[in-house]
Amino acid sequence: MQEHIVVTINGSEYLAEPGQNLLDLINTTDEFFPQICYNESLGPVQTCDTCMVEVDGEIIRACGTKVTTAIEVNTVIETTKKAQKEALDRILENHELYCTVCDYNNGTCEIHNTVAEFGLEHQSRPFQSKSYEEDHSGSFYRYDPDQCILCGRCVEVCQDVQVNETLLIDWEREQPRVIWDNDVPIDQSSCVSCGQCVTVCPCNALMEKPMLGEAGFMTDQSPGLLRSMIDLTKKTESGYGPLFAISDTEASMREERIEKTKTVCTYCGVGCTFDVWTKDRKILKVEPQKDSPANGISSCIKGKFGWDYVNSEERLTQPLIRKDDHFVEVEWEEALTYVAKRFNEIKAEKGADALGFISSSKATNEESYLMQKLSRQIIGTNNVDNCSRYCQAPATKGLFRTVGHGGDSGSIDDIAEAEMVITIGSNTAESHPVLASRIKRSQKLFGQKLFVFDLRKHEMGQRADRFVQPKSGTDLVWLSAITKYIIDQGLENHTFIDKWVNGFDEYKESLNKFTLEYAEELTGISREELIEIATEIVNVERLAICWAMGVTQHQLGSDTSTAISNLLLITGNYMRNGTGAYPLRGHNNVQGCSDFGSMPNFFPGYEEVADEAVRKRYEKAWNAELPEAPGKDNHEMIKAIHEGELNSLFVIGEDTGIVDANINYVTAAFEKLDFFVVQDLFLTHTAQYADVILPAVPSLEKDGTFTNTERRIQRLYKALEPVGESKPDWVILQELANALGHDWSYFHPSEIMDESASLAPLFAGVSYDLLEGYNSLQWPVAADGTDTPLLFSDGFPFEDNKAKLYPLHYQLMYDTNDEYDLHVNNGRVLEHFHEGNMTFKSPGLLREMPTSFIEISPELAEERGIKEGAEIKLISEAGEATGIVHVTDRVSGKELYLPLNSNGKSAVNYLTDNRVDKDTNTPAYKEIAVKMEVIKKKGKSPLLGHNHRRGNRQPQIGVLVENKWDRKDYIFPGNQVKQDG
Amino acid sequence: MADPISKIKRMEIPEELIHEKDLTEVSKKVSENKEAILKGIDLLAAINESEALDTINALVKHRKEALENIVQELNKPGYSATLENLSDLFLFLGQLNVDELFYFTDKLNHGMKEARASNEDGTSYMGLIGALKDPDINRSITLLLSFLRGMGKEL
Repeated sequence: MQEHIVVTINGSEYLAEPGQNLLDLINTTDEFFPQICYNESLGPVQTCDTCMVEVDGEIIRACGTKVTTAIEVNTVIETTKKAQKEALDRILENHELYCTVCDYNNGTCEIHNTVAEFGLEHQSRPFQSKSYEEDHSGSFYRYDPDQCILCGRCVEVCQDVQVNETLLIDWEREQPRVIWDNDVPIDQSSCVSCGQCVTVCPCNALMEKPMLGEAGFMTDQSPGLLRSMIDLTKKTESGYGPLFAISDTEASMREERIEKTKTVCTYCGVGCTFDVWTKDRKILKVEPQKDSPANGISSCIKGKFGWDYVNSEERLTQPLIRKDDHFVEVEWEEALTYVAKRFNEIKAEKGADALGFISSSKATNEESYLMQKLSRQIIGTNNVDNCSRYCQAPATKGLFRTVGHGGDSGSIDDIAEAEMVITIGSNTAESHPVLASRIKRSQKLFGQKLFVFDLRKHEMGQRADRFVQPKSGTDLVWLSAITKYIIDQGLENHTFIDKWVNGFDEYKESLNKFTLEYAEELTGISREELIEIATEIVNVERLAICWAMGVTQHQLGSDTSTAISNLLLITGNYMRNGTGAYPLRGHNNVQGCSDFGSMPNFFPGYEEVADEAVRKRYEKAWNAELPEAPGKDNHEMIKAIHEGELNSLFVIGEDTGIVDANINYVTAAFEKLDFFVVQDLFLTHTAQYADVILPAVPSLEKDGTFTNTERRIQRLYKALEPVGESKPDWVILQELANALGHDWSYFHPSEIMDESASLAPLFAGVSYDLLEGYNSLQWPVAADGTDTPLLFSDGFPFEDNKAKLYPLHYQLMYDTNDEYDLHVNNGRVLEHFHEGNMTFKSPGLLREMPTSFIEISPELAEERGIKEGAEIKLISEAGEATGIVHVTDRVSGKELYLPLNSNGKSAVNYLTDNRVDKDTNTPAYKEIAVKMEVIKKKGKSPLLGHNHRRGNRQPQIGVLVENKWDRKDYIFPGNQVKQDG
Repeated sequence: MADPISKIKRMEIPEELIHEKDLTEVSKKVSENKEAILKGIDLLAAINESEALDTINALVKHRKEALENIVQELNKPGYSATLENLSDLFLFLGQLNVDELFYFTDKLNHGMKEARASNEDGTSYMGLIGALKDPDINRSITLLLSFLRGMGKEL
């Protein structure tokens, strides 16, 4: 049992945990105690000096004190009060209180609230301008040095939470201020616009630009008038009391017109949640909360600032029907009647399996559920799939083979807790920025080891303790070789394997081929390095492996995912916190879309459609006979269209015609369809081929749930009304079902979830009541509502509770050759999302990165005689793409990198072909050999001067408050009080 | 066979239809809020009668200029003293002991009433001395003397 320490605070006794922060303890007393720079999510930064407290007769900072022995604490005697007041006075010298005309006056300004609660009526010394200009240079936020109290929270979050290492406070100069990089404007710095500095700023020094002049009733004034109003306010309001009375009233008036709605981010699979502030249709800001389960106070550029697409003029607002060479806007009834009629005709003529359905990983779980229900119950086909086919199906497959659940073993917290993190084929800092930050923080502050296996030296590669570049498509080999070496040395986790794992002997046998020599030859990783890696792996207690598309989008994607899981089993890195397998899901709901049944072989909760008992359950509930044979996946559907076997396709929120591999082949298929329905926000590339386009709404305009990469189900709430006649996908699906003669009658998505929970054991206890606000559930969820943050803690979901080692073979499937001599790698960039249907609508994001580009290595540039800005054509066996060159050492040798964000002639999928993962049909996007033709030898760089990649990071730990204390003009407020008597 | 197309022929909703739809929406709201709207009309009429409606209308339309003018004017040094007085006066009021003030003003009011009713033309020096014998006058003088003493202590 842990011992507690008795601490007397203002005469009352409290129990402290040994080592507990004194400020945290004081905060449990519910008494007001000033603490402006302290933020629970950041921990103590010790800059503001307002938490002055007397401990055993001496005045110290509460936030800088850990309780180790019994102490007597006084927060209210005159000397501490005086010291606190001195600290507040210093803050008010740095910050002008003009609350009523301040956009930050929304009830949460920590300076306002502290001064008001403290009862400070007058400041002893006047406010002094710091004589620095405001910095408006960035796209998304501005810095006002005059309002900055130099608390350093922004620096702390940038250095140690986001770990982008851009912000510092220059304590050396006469008048300190926050600086970006080596003192350049925000725009010129390495700032990635994650916005976390703005989120944690306690006042209006850092503000989101859309808030400026919008939040208050009287804040939209020209600078001169604003100045006059500030002066006037100060004259008429002789003390802070009256000033606060007015500003508090104004703040509460703001609540009348600014809505704050909890939502879940709609970009990557991390599943960040936050409040979105809206005023009519204007989106003022996005504010992550400390209780946000996946992200806490964190965000990235897209989640924080990338919402313009919601109000884009290009949104579809009316159903469209193709007529000759154009689309005609029609009423819903006409559109749905037409779709129903055509579906019925095709079904009657060619059978149910002539129709196909593709769900959206951007849409909600409830919408995935309804799409597969429509397909199975009403049409009677299992031809239903979703875009996880393009990315994560192989990871799911690998995990199903070995451990039985197709999801992350634990939570993001577990990745942060691991002693070693290995990432394979994951450009984490750009693809899953908030999750990457957790790894970067653990590595920077807590000694976590980071091993990065990737072709490309992206940010994680640059930060890694060990960065390894295996030859493309050979991860399975080094993984198996390391596993074999561990077993050969007798370093496997016997206890774990004996108790929890089946198939050891057979598996061991299968590894024979994977000698260190074989691995060295195929992967290019030296024998010595493989041994070192193996040794380091077995020497850590907690290993987590994260992987992404660099593993899955290969012809051996499923097998490589399996090899990862095998290694984890051999080393006993499952069943405990800080360990496990983490396939990083790419879309906000790519996990949930599969979870809720939009899969050709699975009902919701991964129950086989071929399983009669399961099918009977659904047949009874849905009152229909359901097809037994698994349907076609995305890839097979496209093939079937070419073969004339599939004649109708219904695609929701998926720009298949640009994101699928070999798009020439895919769009050729679209042209062959008898009937094509697309449901989307925009007239996408895919929609251009449609016969009917149904206008859907984005996440901000509907209710529902998303499931993130941690298997975490989270609610999103409607923040805005749908634009025009657009409707939520679930509403459209229901109306379509009813147009097809059924009688679906869901009034709210919660009823759809209830139905699904009643049918799928994996979600038995899921209900909207348990998901209220920031609450979440990680599946499996038992009937009583108990969820499972850590999988496998009681064993693996196989008959005997044991995991399975899965033997693998390897054959080199892909390589460059003499003609096609260059390898094209492809993936995400931070600023954009996929084909750009959402992010290209944001002026800010476009300003950061207006065009796509092709990264080539300095050595290749030299060899081909080209320079930055050159224009080149890449030709693969499937097609060709052209683009502008960016020369960088992130890539090396004959490897190129093409961000997948281009939808024009640089689109990577003009190059990809029909090769797929042999087990899941996931396109092998990462296996493209091309040849290069030079169109123009040099030109304007596609990477603008203000892009963060050109910045100059300044790593340090925290805000370096000691440098403030060392200043000659700094006197500790406690000492000042003593000095003044 | 479907070629990619991107031209959209927008639905042309006749103006009358939009008009009609808007009217339906408005009349529904009117019906739901009949009482408030009727009262609102009375209020508008009253403001209009006082000729203030035009003024308010003009002021709202020119609020930016108005605010600017007023704020800039008030910021001139000439107003500074007044503004500070205003807030000081506010604070001063807060410090007065109103109960006791009532006691005082009550007496004062009574005195004023008597004074208004009085027909006397003047009072001689002797009359003044003599008047001290009048218990009413004596009580008043004592009260004033006590007030002067109390005030003196604070000076």
